[in-house]
Amino acid sequence: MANETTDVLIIGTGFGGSIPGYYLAAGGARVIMLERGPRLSSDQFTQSLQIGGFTRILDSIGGTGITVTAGNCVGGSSVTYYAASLRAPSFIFERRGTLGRRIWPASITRRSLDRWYRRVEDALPVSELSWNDVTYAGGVFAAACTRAGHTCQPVPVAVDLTRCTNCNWMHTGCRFDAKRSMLLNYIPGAEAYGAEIRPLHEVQAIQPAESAGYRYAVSYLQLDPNDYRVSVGSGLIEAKIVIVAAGAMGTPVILQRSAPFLGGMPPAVGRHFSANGDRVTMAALDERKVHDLLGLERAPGVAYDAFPIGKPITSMTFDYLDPSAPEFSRFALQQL
Amino acid sequence: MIEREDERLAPSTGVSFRLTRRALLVRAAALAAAWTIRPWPIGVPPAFGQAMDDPAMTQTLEAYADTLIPGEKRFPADRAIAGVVSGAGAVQAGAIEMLNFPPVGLQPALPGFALGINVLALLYAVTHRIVPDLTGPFVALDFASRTDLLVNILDRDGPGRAALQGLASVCFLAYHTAAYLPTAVAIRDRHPGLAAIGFPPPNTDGVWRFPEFSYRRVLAVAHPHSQCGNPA
Repeated sequence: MANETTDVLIIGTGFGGSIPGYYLAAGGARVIMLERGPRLSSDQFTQSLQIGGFTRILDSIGGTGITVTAGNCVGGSSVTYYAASLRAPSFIFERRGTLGRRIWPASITRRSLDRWYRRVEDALPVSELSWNDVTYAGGVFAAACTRAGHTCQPVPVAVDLTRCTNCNWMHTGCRFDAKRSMLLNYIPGAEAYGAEIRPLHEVQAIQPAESAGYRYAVSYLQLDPNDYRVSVGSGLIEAKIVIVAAGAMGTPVILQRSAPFLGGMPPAVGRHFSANGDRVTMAALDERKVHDLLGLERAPGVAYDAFPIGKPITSMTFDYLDPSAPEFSRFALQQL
Repeated sequence: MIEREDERLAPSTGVSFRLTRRALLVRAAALAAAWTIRPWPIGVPPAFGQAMDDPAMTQTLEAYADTLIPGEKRFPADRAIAGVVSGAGAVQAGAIEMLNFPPVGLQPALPGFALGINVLALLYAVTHRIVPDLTGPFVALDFASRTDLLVNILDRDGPGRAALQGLASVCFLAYHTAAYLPTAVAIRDRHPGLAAIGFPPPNTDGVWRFPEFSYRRVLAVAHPHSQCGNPA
């Protein structure tokens, strides 16, 4: 029996997979996209903490001294993230390694990337927040920055501000279609050009293809929607091009599993990678001081008391992103 | 391996005699040999033969949850809950419902957890000169002893630490998130943990929205090099 074939096989339907999926399908390629997680639409996103609900689409991966949260669904982490859409600071691309050489390729600078940032900001789209869109929490942070002699400004977010209800359930998926996940732009775009998305298809390994004209064969298991540990089927697809976009945590695992079939894998695979590196700290706010020192009052007699309200990320300060400061001492402080 | 486990146990029990796993195994082997020669009926104490619907198992788990987040006794003869505080604790917040909630996936392991807790409690009683209660060693301990035991297990790298930390985390989830229920239902039914942390109620249609969410004031000056909210 002939193996199933395609031009492009994309592993993962998050940020990394959706965008090439769209462009390649629009360019005329046959595209199949395999997604380990389920496919949920906005009417299926529940504002609820119940296990078995949002836990279907949110992975928490525990390591030693680090925990990674990642989306597990069609749309990937774009469905569960907080949509802060920031361009990287220019100095990042000028970093030099221990040999004194520029780490990034010469063609990559903030300036050369700006046109691509603009393209994505148009496609999602990204909204620039005014102070009327900054939440109470973002406002307290901004006022505290001001009092401490720091600058602070609103954060651009990939959220349709006319639809957003500031419900603070972003991590369970946006039921109002306000957060601009891949489900609202690149994925429907890819499907309009014939790309095929298969949810609950967990890629196992990449191996050489058997059929002439095809380079790789990708094996997968079909998962039980109610218990991802159980497989209900399997298959193999041969492709000319394979794009591995299974996320910072998923991609190295697939590549390492494929090493025996591909004649090895560079030792750096699975090491020295960075996800969205944050250190999250809790702040306990004194209501009286929010009122007396920061001069804030959200209602008569209520200074703040608004932790559950609003988009999670709305303000931040760049004051510690100093290009002249030593490497690894530079950071942004963001209200979350 | 067994000797290393015993060495790790010994400092935390602070005993004058060495109760080691090897010593227990030797005794168990001797008993097994004796049993094969002449069997005698074995009556398993309830705390050690727990089935899923066994009240002794549930009481053990309730006591475990109550040690983590204590609450008031549900009725005067409530042995599982120590009753060291007033108000609702993990048990009232549905810790047992959460442990038994099928999507959490712990239900089949609960008898084993209860057994493990009781074995550790028995060991604790013996090594702290407390008369052990074989019908329910953990429930029989007072709150201070229960707490001391859990500190030993959960904080000091005792045996079974990871699994019991997992069990503990589910108890905390039950209190702080009511994650065995749809959240709107939990709020409607006045879940004590959500109420304690001030979780806001949804609108009357069961959907959360916050039309008032901003001070609507300019509260800071932007970084001079930022452009459209981005760093330079």
